[in-house]
Amino acid sequence: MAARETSEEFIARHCAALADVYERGMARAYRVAPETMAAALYRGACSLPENASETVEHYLASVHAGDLALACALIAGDAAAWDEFVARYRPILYASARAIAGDELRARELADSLWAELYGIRGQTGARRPLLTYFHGRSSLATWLHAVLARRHIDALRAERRHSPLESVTADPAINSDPPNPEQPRYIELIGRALNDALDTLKPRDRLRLAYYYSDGLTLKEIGALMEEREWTVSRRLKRTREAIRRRVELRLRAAGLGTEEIRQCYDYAMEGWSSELKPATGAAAGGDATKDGRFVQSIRK
Amino acid sequence: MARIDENGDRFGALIGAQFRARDREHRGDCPESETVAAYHERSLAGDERDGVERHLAGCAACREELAAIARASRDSAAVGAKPESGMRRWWTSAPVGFAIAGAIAIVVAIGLGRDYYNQESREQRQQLAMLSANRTTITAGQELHAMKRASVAKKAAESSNVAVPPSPPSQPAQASLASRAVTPEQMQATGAASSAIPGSGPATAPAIPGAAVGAATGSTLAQNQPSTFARLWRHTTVISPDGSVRWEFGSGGIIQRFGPGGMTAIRVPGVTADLLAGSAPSSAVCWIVGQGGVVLRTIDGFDWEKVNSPTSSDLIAVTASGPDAAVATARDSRRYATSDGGQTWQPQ
Repeated sequence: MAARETSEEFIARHCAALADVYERGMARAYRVAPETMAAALYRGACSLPENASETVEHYLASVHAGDLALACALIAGDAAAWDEFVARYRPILYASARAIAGDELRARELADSLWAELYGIRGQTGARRPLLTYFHGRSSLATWLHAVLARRHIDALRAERRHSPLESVTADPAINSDPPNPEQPRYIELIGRALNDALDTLKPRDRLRLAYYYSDGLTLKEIGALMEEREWTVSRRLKRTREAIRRRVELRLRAAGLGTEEIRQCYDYAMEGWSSELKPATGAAAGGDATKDGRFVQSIRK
Repeated sequence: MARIDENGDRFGALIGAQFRARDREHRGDCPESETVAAYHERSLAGDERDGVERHLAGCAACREELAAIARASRDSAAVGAKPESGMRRWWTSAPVGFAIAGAIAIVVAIGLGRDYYNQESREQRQQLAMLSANRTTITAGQELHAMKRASVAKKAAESSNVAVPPSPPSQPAQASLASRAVTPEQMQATGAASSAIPGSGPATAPAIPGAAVGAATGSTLAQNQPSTFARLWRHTTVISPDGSVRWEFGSGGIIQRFGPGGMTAIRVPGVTADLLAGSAPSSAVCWIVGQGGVVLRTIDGFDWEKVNSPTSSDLIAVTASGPDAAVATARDSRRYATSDGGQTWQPQ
């Protein structure tokens, strides 16, 4: 959206699209005034990333108009709209919570805690701030509810993990058996920086695929489902990306004056130096981040 | 990660460790839930999608969240999660409603006789026929015409030297909207006022869509001072001289009729232009003109036909005196008359 565009300028610029959204959403059936709908769309447009001029048009063309109209009616406290919302979305919300949380008790807690916030809890000023004001129709209402539940659940899990005591990590006697090489810290730093830079040069999608595979330990099938790609496509792209990274890392190390033997040593030292990072990936250690104890993998595979 | 041991993929293990070292601990810069949801639905535009993927690659929590959304979507689909708009819900539920009504009708027919059933099903068939004929009886209407319409009105006013009333100051939207609701009494009143509407009397100037609405809804609008939004979203209304029928129309070639029999909405096939002005010499006859020289006519109040146009430029006013006779005014102030139902037009 154009920087600092007022709501009136926004309407002037996108009047036809706004009228179309209002019509598509059958907002009048929900007793939602055009101004209310336009204001919601304006808020939605304001929430879009800046410096993407075509995004507002894309947003208005793809907005879930019916869901947004319902949300506007809910925010206004329309009783009939709430009746409809509860009837339509309660089973969805509970099914979603069960899928996210895993056990029935936690699922009920998760879903039940959301209703009050969807309606809006009065703050110190006495004004309601319904959670639904954060819904702008960019996704369907159902998927947005899934996302809100998922975020709450994962944040709660992470908070629990932060507060749970870490197991003491005992040193592996095999690691420190050789006399230390004075070059070891430099090699570890070199390869770490080279690897980091190589990852930075990747396209976001390639990097995401790599993270799913090497960090989260997902299978090709699971990655394919999340990224809408065939298994063999995931495999092929992973291989290609991995080779590209390796080439870049080695080029970088050679540019730093290392030969083949030193590069091999770099890998060895990195494996030793990062052993505490590598261990959780193998499921040997507990605590820390969700990805480090295999719980993320478990959650994916539920 | 068993794969490390299986194929000795030490380099892969290093990549994994590097990712975990890069993963964010704080979620302050995570995308909004709605953005993640839209990403899941594959509805983000290119730039934003790349941005989300860039973030996901460095945020285990968001990756976990996305996986949870995928699970929730899959599982809730089983309980009938249909993220659809009210419009679609209405359409899809209608056949179900008819089916239920039909079943009830059968039960009633058994008890009360076949005639009742026949009458009931005949009505249903008529309703279905209406749906298939692209004319729908719906409860919600369209609030069409935003600034574009206001702009057209303003330009038309400038080109034709017709004064457009200055914009009244704003007031709360609900109040302004309430002021736009047309009651039967108002319809009667505006029937009297319809002499100001093109077609209900000899027009001396091109009709201005905004002005037509003002006239159509009487003095109530002016008194209640509609907010800026209300003005922007105003549609054009034409009321028959006896006040029994009202047509509302706006962008996209959609025309609504309010009158005996309820409200009907129709989109004239092949017409997507904005409709700018209309004129109704009777409760059955109405002419509507619009962008690109589009001219529409009904002679029974319901069925609309697109007739020949005298010009390809926008027509901003029309004055009709019957089913065959009308005078249309273009944006460039040229006027065209027809006396054969729009088959031929003569410049005036």
